[in-house]
Amino acid sequence: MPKITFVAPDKSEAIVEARSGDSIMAAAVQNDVAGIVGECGGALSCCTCHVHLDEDWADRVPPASDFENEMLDMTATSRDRTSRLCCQISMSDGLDGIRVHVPESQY
Amino acid sequence: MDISTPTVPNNISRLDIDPYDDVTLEHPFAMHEVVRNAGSVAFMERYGVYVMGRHADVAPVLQDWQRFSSTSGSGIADIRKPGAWRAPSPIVEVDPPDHTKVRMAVQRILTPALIREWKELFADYADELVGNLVDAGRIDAVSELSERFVAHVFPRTIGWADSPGRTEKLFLLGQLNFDGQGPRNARFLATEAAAAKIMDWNNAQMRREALLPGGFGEKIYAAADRGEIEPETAPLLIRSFLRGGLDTTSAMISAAIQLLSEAPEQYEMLRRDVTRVRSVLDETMRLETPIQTVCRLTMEDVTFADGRTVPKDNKIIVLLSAANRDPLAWERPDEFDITRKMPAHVALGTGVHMCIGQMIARMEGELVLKALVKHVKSIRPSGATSRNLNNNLRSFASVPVELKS
Repeated sequence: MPKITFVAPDKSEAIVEARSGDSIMAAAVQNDVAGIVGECGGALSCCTCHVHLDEDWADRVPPASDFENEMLDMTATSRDRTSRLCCQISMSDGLDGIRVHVPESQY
Repeated sequence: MDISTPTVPNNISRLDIDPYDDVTLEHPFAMHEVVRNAGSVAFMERYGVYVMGRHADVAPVLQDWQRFSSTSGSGIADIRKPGAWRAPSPIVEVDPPDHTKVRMAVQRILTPALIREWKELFADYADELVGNLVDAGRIDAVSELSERFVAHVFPRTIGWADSPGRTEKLFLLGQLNFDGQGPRNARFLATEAAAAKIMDWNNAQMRREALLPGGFGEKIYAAADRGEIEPETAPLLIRSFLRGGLDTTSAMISAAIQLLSEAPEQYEMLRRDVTRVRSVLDETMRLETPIQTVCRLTMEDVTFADGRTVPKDNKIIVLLSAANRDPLAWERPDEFDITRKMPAHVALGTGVHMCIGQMIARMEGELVLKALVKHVKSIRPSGATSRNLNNNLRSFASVPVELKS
């Protein structure tokens, strides 16, 4: 199973295994990763699964849709070049080892 | 109905069930089991539609709008056929790319910031409402709490001023909408007759001049002015917003209180950790599933994992409520347990059509539950509950409880 590393704002790391096809958000919620809420369950309605992709991974993930891109303007902490709503990133073996940074707040 | 019968493949079970009779509406669980046990998909002889209820098969269907379209209507009637009783919803009953444009226009309005603003605006009302019911002896958690709260909050989110008899009218419209998703049975016809006299009022409510600044209604007309949606779509979206958000939210809140009253240890868990509000609401939605079913239309012949095929151009009634109690997806599926994690329930759908107003419903549920936690040490059942029987909305008519400080 592909692994995801979540880097907390205090730089501590949590590594979780995801089922292929599950979103990064789903893997985080299932494994109680702090700071990823996913309140709307992946409907692009809540902006509570905002992450910053690690620079090394930013260009290896399929780009955000127009819809996700608009929603990223509404996140609680400001977006940057590698910001994503991680409910929209589906895990696969190709993303094994991906690192994502969790922001200070989702509300 | 018989004309579709010959097209049913041999390996598909033909079920003699009626999801809309009174006994089944009251206790749908045996019917759900029959459907789940019949395989990925079965055929409902009486109504000439296919039916499915296994979580593992239902979730992918909801996510696959290309093969399972919403354009024939969310209920069992095919709204593409002549004589349809209403225009399609411009958001629920369309698919991408048209759907994407409309959904984005609505989502641009329902921003997380606006939901937070509403949450602050309505918190005091929730607090006051619950505060007045504490230690007041036997109260009805439906008429005195959930319906009263939602009937106060929800019209304001749309931007409607108070008007006489509004609450009763709004709930009657909801009843009509959800009865209309089932067959044209006696229940639907009675509701339709009762609602006939308020249809002018209903139409007037959707017009621009009825809408106060700051609400969803005014904002959606402004989106039409900007060209984000067609002008004629604006009133239809207000209609969809009302349909989706009023009775469903109130049903969820009533059921949450009923479930917590029957499970004091779960309420205690919530009191100790109020962040569990979200789990309470999700577990309530899983068990109660206010919108019991949605329908899809097959755009091609579709074969499921167990080899059963539904031919092209057939309606499938998707029993969200059956999927939400599927024993293959959850241990002890009938038990209210707020510590569950996954899998995700499908009460709000999933995929592109997943409930767009859920953040409003969650906000309302959160305000009521937090007010309960603040004021109430125990919620005790205080008499027999009763249900509203409706073709598609599962809700309580009455939940007598005592709220003790």
